[in-house]
Amino acid sequence: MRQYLFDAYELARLTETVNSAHKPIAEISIKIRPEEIYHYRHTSNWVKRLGLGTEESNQRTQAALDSLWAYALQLFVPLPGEAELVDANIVPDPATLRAAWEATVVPWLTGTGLSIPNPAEPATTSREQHTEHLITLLAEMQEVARIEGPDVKW
Amino acid sequence: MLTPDEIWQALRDVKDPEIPVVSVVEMGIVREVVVEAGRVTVTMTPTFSGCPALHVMKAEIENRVKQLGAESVEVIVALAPRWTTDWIADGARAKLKAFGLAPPPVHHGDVNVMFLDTASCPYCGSNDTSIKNTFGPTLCRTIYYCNACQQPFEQFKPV
Repeated sequence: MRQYLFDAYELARLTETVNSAHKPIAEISIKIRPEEIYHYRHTSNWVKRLGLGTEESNQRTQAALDSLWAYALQLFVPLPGEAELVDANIVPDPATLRAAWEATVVPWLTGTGLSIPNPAEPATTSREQHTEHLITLLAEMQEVARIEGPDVKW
Repeated sequence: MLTPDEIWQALRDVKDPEIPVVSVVEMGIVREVVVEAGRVTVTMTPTFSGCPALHVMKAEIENRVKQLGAESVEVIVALAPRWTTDWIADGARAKLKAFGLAPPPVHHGDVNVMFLDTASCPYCGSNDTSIKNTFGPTLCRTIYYCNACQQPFEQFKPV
């Protein structure tokens, strides 16, 4: 579900940044967007399969959506300095992006037997701060390196 | 004195490491060859943006041109214009199929057309196939199953 919500965001964003006034962003967006369509298709089909699967798969998928929705909405909270980039047509306006994103994910999720969580407010933690999840994530990602030590050769 | 034609010809020896039956020229990866006062500049473009074969192909292109006796070789990786599967040469499509990899359909730039979700089985030619996984062993391949001859196969994704 997390990947689905993000892929929908990324596709909406790339659809806008292909027209970025900053040429390197426009060029890489033009290159990546067709590939991103595959990512979106992959995760959207999984959401559909799970949402319309069994009673249990539906409940678990709904639970994932309930816990992630507020975090997904954070993607549209402007970051410091972002307004200047929007004014210069370098990145899209987060409000425009949110409208495009909702136009994609709301009908898809409701069409797959899921309901959109209420209220539609972003999580209150800032995107400039890490959540408590980072500690366990880092611990897991660094586990092998910590066990093997710095001198290991592969 | 090396000519661009000689270099283009020699680069036909450099194969795509993941699909060793086709060359980087046939795949449309080599975009331009310029020779100026003994200095060779080859412009190439990545296929998929995360393709791990890029660096291998870049090194092999450079080595192949050096073998021809070029004093100085520079390989430039250009992102624009973006590579598309429409640039794969017709002859190479037949080679992909013989290799067991369904060639990507030509879409003329309309990337949404590709979502007809059908691929012809490279083994028996049937269109009665279904997608099993959008991401196969590499980023650029989709895994299908042929309902006619009951074999799994891969398709090179159209982009």
